[in-house]
Amino acid sequence: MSIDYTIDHIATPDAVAGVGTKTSRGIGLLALGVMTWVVVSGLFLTPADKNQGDSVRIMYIHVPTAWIAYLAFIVTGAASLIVLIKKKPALGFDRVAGASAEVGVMFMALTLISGSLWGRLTWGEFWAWDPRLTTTAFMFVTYIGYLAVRNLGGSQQQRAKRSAVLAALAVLQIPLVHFSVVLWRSLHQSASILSVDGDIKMDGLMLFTLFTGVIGFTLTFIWLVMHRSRLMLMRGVIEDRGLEAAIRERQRDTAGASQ
Amino acid sequence: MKDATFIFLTYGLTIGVLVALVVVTLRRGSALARQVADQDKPWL
Repeated sequence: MSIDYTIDHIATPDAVAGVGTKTSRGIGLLALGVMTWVVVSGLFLTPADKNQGDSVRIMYIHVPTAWIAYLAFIVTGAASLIVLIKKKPALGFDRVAGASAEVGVMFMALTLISGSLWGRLTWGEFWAWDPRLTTTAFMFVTYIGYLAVRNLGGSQQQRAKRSAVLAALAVLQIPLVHFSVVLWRSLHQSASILSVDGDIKMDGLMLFTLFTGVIGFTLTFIWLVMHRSRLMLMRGVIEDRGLEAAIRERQRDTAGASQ
Repeated sequence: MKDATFIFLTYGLTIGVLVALVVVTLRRGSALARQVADQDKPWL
């Protein structure tokens, strides 16, 4: 092995600027710190609930993941509306919409899993065809469909417009899911934190853990969306480069055939 | 702690999935970044 090869081999990975920046690293570290606190507090520091017992600890995960899934789909919907309204191609907003939906689907899956584990402890079964659970599952499937539509053929602009229409419609499910516990008779408990009259129903440390959980998951969501939208941009650049190369090759072939 | 299996499973799954997604994102980002010039990375 030559010295040149060794130097090149070691130097290459460091020479390439990745997807991380000072800001994203800061957000990532903050998310890590907050999430560590949530896990420690949720598992060991908070008291058991007088009605739910220790199963209430699942709430510190379940409730924030559900909220972040809503947030993710609202971001997808808002970014998609901008894509539809703007005359010029708004591919940056399309990437944010796509990245947010990817992360939202993951959070929604975590919500369904943590909810079914909590349901097994509280209701005695993993799943019930309850209005909240059914509408949530339907929303989850809709966004999987949205991600599938994003991968259909066409130019980046065509795909952006097509998926934006679907996202702008899909976001309308959020109020239906959220208010399903009020609209229909539901097994699922109603608001966990605020009662209808605005009174807070939780103990101080329990509320603080839930609140920090929302912050920790939000920071994680922001970090993931930042990085995943950058991945999409790089994939688009590579895709465009491949397309340009194919066009050049085709032009060369056509020119060669006409001579 | 009562029902510890379910509770630890919830926390383990959630944190595990998040860590896995972060690792996949960083690895894919690093792989793609090698194929794209720095001028095509507007965040730099």
